Amino acid sequence: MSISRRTFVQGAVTGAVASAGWTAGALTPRDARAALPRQTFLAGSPADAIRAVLGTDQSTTSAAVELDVTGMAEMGDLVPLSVRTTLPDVASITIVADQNPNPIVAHYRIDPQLAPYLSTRVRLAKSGDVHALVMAGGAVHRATKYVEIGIGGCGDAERDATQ
Amino acid sequence: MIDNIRIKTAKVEDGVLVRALINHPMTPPRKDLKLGMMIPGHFIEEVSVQLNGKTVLTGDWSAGVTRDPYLAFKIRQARPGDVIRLTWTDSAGNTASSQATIG
Repeated sequence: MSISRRTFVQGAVTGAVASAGWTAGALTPRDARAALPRQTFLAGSPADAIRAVLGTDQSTTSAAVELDVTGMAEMGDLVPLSVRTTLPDVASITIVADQNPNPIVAHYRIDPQLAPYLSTRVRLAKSGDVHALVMAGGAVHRATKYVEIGIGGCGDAERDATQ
Repeated sequence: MIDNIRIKTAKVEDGVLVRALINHPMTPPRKDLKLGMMIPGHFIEEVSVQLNGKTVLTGDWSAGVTRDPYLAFKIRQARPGDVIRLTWTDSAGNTASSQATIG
Protein backbone atom coordinates (compact mmCIF):
# COMPACT_ATOMS: atom_id res chain seq x y z
CA MET A 1 0.00 0.00 0.00
CA SER A 2 1.52 3.30 -0.99
CA ILE A 3 0.25 6.60 0.33
CA SER A 4 1.28 9.66 -1.61
CA ARG A 5 2.32 12.71 0.37
CA ARG A 6 -0.65 14.65 -1.01
CA THR A 7 -3.14 11.99 -0.04
CA PHE A 8 -1.62 11.69 3.40
CA VAL A 9 -1.82 15.40 4.09
CA GLN A 10 -5.42 15.56 2.93
CA GLY A 11 -6.26 12.62 5.09
CA ALA A 12 -4.63 14.17 8.13
CA VAL A 13 -6.50 17.40 7.64
CA THR A 14 -9.85 15.67 7.57
CA GLY A 15 -8.93 13.68 10.61
CA ALA A 16 -8.74 10.43 8.78
CA VAL A 17 -5.74 8.74 7.28
CA ALA A 18 -6.78 8.12 3.71
CA SER A 19 -6.68 4.60 2.35
CA ALA A 20 -5.68 3.11 5.69
CA GLY A 21 -8.87 1.11 5.58
CA TRP A 22 -12.02 0.60 7.54
CA THR A 23 -11.00 1.96 10.89
CA ALA A 24 -9.01 4.95 9.67
CA GLY A 25 -11.29 7.29 11.56
CA ALA A 26 -10.36 5.68 14.85
CA LEU A 27 -6.81 7.01 14.77
CA THR A 28 -6.95 9.91 17.19
CA PRO A 29 -4.70 10.90 20.10
CA ARG A 30 -7.39 9.98 22.61
CA ASP A 31 -6.81 6.37 21.75
CA ALA A 32 -3.37 6.46 23.30
CA ARG A 33 -4.80 5.64 26.71
CA ALA A 34 -6.28 2.34 25.56
CA ALA A 35 -4.46 -0.68 26.90
CA LEU A 36 -4.17 -2.05 23.41
CA PRO A 37 -3.06 0.58 20.91
CA ARG A 38 -5.85 1.23 18.47
CA GLN A 39 -3.28 1.28 15.72
CA THR A 40 -3.00 -2.47 16.00
CA PHE A 41 -6.55 -2.65 14.75
CA LEU A 42 -5.52 -0.78 11.62
CA ALA A 43 -3.10 -3.44 10.52
CA GLY A 44 -4.09 -4.48 7.02
CA SER A 45 -3.80 -8.22 6.56
CA PRO A 46 -5.15 -10.70 9.07
CA ALA A 47 -1.61 -11.94 9.79
CA ASP A 48 -0.32 -8.41 10.46
CA ALA A 49 -3.25 -7.60 12.70
CA ILE A 50 -2.89 -10.83 14.68
CA ARG A 51 0.84 -10.21 15.12
CA ALA A 52 0.11 -6.72 16.38
CA VAL A 53 -2.40 -7.94 18.92
CA LEU A 54 -0.93 -11.24 20.08
CA GLY A 55 2.75 -10.70 19.32
CA THR A 56 2.84 -13.66 16.96
CA ASP A 57 0.91 -14.85 13.95
CA GLN A 58 1.83 -18.47 14.61
CA SER A 59 -1.01 -20.63 15.83
CA THR A 60 -1.87 -24.28 15.88
CA THR A 61 -5.25 -25.77 15.13
CA SER A 62 -6.61 -27.21 18.33
CA ALA A 63 -9.56 -29.47 18.97
CA ALA A 64 -9.71 -27.97 22.45
CA VAL A 65 -10.97 -24.71 20.99
CA GLU A 66 -14.59 -24.73 19.97
CA LEU A 67 -15.87 -22.03 17.64
CA ASP A 68 -19.62 -22.11 17.40
CA VAL A 69 -20.83 -20.13 14.39
CA THR A 70 -23.14 -20.89 11.52
CA GLY A 71 -21.58 -22.05 8.28
CA MET A 72 -24.07 -20.13 6.19
CA ALA A 73 -25.52 -16.75 7.13
CA GLU A 74 -28.12 -15.03 5.01
CA MET A 75 -27.09 -11.61 6.33
CA GLY A 76 -23.58 -10.73 7.42
CA ASP A 77 -24.62 -7.91 9.69
CA LEU A 78 -25.62 -10.10 12.60
CA VAL A 79 -23.89 -13.42 13.04
CA PRO A 80 -24.05 -15.05 16.49
CA LEU A 81 -20.74 -16.53 17.50
CA SER A 82 -19.41 -18.18 20.61
CA VAL A 83 -16.05 -19.53 21.65
CA ARG A 84 -15.26 -21.99 24.40
CA THR A 85 -12.21 -24.02 25.23
CA THR A 86 -11.03 -26.70 27.61
CA LEU A 87 -7.50 -25.31 27.64
CA PRO A 88 -6.10 -24.17 31.00
CA ASP A 89 -4.50 -20.77 31.67
CA VAL A 90 -6.41 -18.83 29.04
CA ALA A 91 -5.13 -15.26 28.80
CA SER A 92 -7.08 -13.98 25.84
CA ILE A 93 -9.59 -14.87 23.17
CA THR A 94 -9.45 -13.10 19.81
CA ILE A 95 -12.05 -13.23 17.07
CA VAL A 96 -10.72 -12.72 13.56
CA ALA A 97 -12.65 -12.46 10.30
CA ASP A 98 -10.25 -12.77 7.37
CA GLN A 99 -12.49 -10.93 4.91
CA ASN A 100 -13.47 -8.00 7.11
CA PRO A 101 -11.96 -4.59 6.26
CA ASN A 102 -10.64 -4.75 9.80
CA PRO A 103 -9.83 -8.40 10.47
CA ILE A 104 -9.67 -8.22 14.28
CA VAL A 105 -13.30 -8.16 15.31
CA ALA A 106 -12.70 -8.32 19.04
CA HIS A 107 -9.90 -9.13 21.42
CA TYR A 108 -10.74 -10.14 24.98
CA ARG A 109 -8.36 -10.42 27.91
CA ILE A 110 -9.73 -12.87 30.42
CA ASP A 111 -9.10 -13.24 34.12
CA PRO A 112 -8.87 -16.79 35.57
CA GLN A 113 -12.01 -16.02 37.57
CA LEU A 114 -13.94 -16.32 34.32
CA ALA A 115 -14.55 -19.55 32.49
CA PRO A 116 -12.96 -19.51 29.01
CA TYR A 117 -16.25 -18.85 27.27
CA LEU A 118 -17.54 -15.90 25.27
CA SER A 119 -20.60 -15.35 23.20
CA THR A 120 -21.22 -12.33 21.00
CA ARG A 121 -22.62 -11.21 17.66
CA VAL A 122 -20.41 -10.07 14.83
CA ARG A 123 -20.58 -8.43 11.42
CA LEU A 124 -19.01 -10.25 8.53
CA ALA A 125 -18.31 -8.38 5.30
CA LYS A 126 -17.94 -11.33 2.96
CA SER A 127 -17.80 -15.09 2.91
CA GLY A 128 -14.54 -16.25 4.42
CA ASP A 129 -12.73 -17.90 7.29
CA VAL A 130 -13.52 -16.86 10.84
CA HIS A 131 -10.97 -17.75 13.51
CA ALA A 132 -11.07 -18.00 17.25
CA LEU A 133 -7.57 -17.58 18.63
CA VAL A 134 -7.01 -18.61 22.22
CA MET A 135 -3.83 -17.56 23.94
CA ALA A 136 -3.17 -20.16 26.62
CA GLY A 137 0.08 -21.12 28.28
CA GLY A 138 2.04 -18.79 26.00
CA ALA A 139 0.86 -20.43 22.78
CA VAL A 140 -1.92 -19.56 20.39
CA HIS A 141 -4.52 -22.22 19.68
CA ARG A 142 -6.93 -21.83 16.82
CA ALA A 143 -10.31 -22.95 15.62
CA THR A 144 -11.42 -21.89 12.14
CA LYS A 145 -14.73 -22.05 10.37
CA TYR A 146 -15.70 -20.93 6.89
CA VAL A 147 -18.82 -18.79 6.95
CA GLU A 148 -20.72 -18.15 3.76
CA ILE A 149 -22.49 -14.80 3.66
CA GLY A 150 -25.48 -13.87 1.51
CA ILE A 151 -25.40 -10.13 2.12
CA GLY A 152 -22.38 -8.48 3.68
CA GLY A 153 -22.61 -6.58 6.93
CA CYS A 154 -20.05 -3.82 6.57
CA GLY A 155 -21.76 -1.33 4.32
CA ASP A 156 -20.08 -2.69 1.23
CA ALA A 157 -21.29 -0.25 -1.43
CA GLU A 158 -19.45 -2.09 -4.19
CA ARG A 159 -21.56 -5.16 -3.76
CA ASP A 160 -23.18 -6.43 -6.93
CA ALA A 161 -26.44 -4.52 -7.22
CA THR A 162 -28.07 -7.26 -9.30
CA GLN A 163 -28.45 -9.55 -6.29
CA MET B 1 -30.84 5.91 25.01
CA ILE B 2 -27.26 5.49 24.00
CA ASP B 3 -26.16 4.62 27.52
CA ASN B 4 -28.64 1.84 28.10
CA ILE B 5 -26.97 -1.38 29.24
CA ARG B 6 -28.92 -4.40 30.36
CA ILE B 7 -27.18 -7.09 32.38
CA LYS B 8 -28.75 -10.40 33.30
CA THR B 9 -27.25 -13.16 35.37
CA ALA B 10 -28.25 -16.79 35.56
CA LYS B 11 -26.90 -19.67 37.58
CA VAL B 12 -25.65 -22.43 35.31
CA GLU B 13 -23.99 -25.76 35.90
CA ASP B 14 -20.43 -24.47 35.86
CA GLY B 15 -20.84 -21.00 37.34
CA VAL B 16 -22.84 -17.90 36.64
CA LEU B 17 -23.67 -16.88 33.10
CA VAL B 18 -23.72 -13.14 32.55
CA ARG B 19 -25.39 -11.69 29.49
CA ALA B 20 -25.11 -8.03 28.62
CA LEU B 21 -26.92 -6.11 25.93
CA ILE B 22 -25.67 -2.63 25.13
CA ASN B 23 -27.56 -0.04 23.11
CA HIS B 24 -25.11 1.46 20.67
CA PRO B 25 -25.24 2.17 16.91
CA MET B 26 -21.74 0.70 16.31
CA THR B 27 -21.45 2.56 13.01
CA PRO B 28 -18.48 1.32 11.00
CA PRO B 29 -16.11 3.79 9.36
CA ARG B 30 -16.90 3.85 5.69
CA LYS B 31 -15.70 5.33 2.50
CA ASP B 32 -17.95 7.98 1.02
CA LEU B 33 -17.97 7.13 -2.67
CA LYS B 34 -18.86 10.66 -3.76
CA LEU B 35 -16.30 12.45 -1.62
CA GLY B 36 -13.80 9.62 -1.86
CA MET B 37 -12.76 9.92 1.74
CA MET B 38 -13.20 7.97 4.92
CA ILE B 39 -15.99 8.93 7.27
CA PRO B 40 -15.13 7.98 10.82
CA GLY B 41 -17.31 5.40 12.46
CA HIS B 42 -18.92 5.58 15.85
CA PHE B 43 -18.42 2.39 17.76
CA ILE B 44 -17.42 1.02 21.14
CA GLU B 45 -13.68 0.57 21.33
CA GLU B 46 -13.28 -0.82 24.77
CA VAL B 47 -15.55 -2.67 27.13
CA SER B 48 -14.52 -3.83 30.57
CA VAL B 49 -16.15 -5.91 33.24
CA GLN B 50 -15.45 -5.65 36.94
CA LEU B 51 -16.38 -8.30 39.46
CA ASN B 52 -16.55 -6.72 42.91
CA GLY B 53 -14.34 -3.92 41.63
CA LYS B 54 -11.69 -6.14 40.07
CA THR B 55 -11.36 -6.15 36.29
CA VAL B 56 -11.97 -9.65 35.01
CA LEU B 57 -12.65 -9.06 31.33
CA THR B 58 -11.47 -6.44 28.86
CA GLY B 59 -12.66 -6.37 25.30
CA ASP B 60 -11.10 -4.33 22.51
CA TRP B 61 -13.67 -4.04 19.79
CA SER B 62 -13.72 -2.99 16.19
CA ALA B 63 -16.91 -2.02 14.39
CA GLY B 64 -17.07 -5.70 13.43
CA VAL B 65 -19.14 -6.16 16.56
CA THR B 66 -22.80 -5.71 15.70
CA ARG B 67 -25.05 -2.79 16.46
CA ASP B 68 -26.52 -3.10 19.96
CA PRO B 69 -23.72 -5.43 21.02
CA TYR B 70 -24.38 -8.60 22.94
CA LEU B 71 -21.75 -10.14 25.16
CA ALA B 72 -22.03 -13.22 27.32
CA PHE B 73 -19.41 -14.71 29.61
CA LYS B 74 -19.23 -17.05 32.58
CA ILE B 75 -17.95 -16.46 36.09
CA ARG B 76 -16.57 -19.68 37.54
CA GLN B 77 -17.46 -19.00 41.14
CA ALA B 78 -19.80 -16.28 42.20
CA ARG B 79 -21.70 -15.73 45.40
CA PRO B 80 -25.04 -14.01 45.81
CA GLY B 81 -24.38 -10.32 46.33
CA ASP B 82 -21.37 -10.21 44.02
CA VAL B 83 -21.49 -7.11 41.87
CA ILE B 84 -20.80 -7.08 38.14
CA ARG B 85 -20.13 -3.74 36.53
CA LEU B 86 -19.79 -3.23 32.79
CA THR B 87 -18.27 -0.08 31.32
CA TRP B 88 -17.76 0.90 27.73
CA THR B 89 -15.95 3.71 25.94
CA ASP B 90 -16.65 4.52 22.31
CA SER B 91 -14.77 6.20 19.50
CA ALA B 92 -16.50 9.52 20.19
CA GLY B 93 -15.23 9.50 23.78
CA ASN B 94 -18.62 8.64 25.26
CA THR B 95 -18.68 6.27 28.16
CA ALA B 96 -21.39 4.45 30.05
CA SER B 97 -21.53 2.01 32.88
CA SER B 98 -24.08 -0.23 34.51
CA GLN B 99 -24.07 -2.85 37.22
CA ALA B 100 -25.97 -5.89 38.34
CA THR B 101 -25.96 -7.92 41.52
CA ILE B 102 -25.86 -11.68 41.39
CA GLY B 103 -29.00 -12.98 43.06
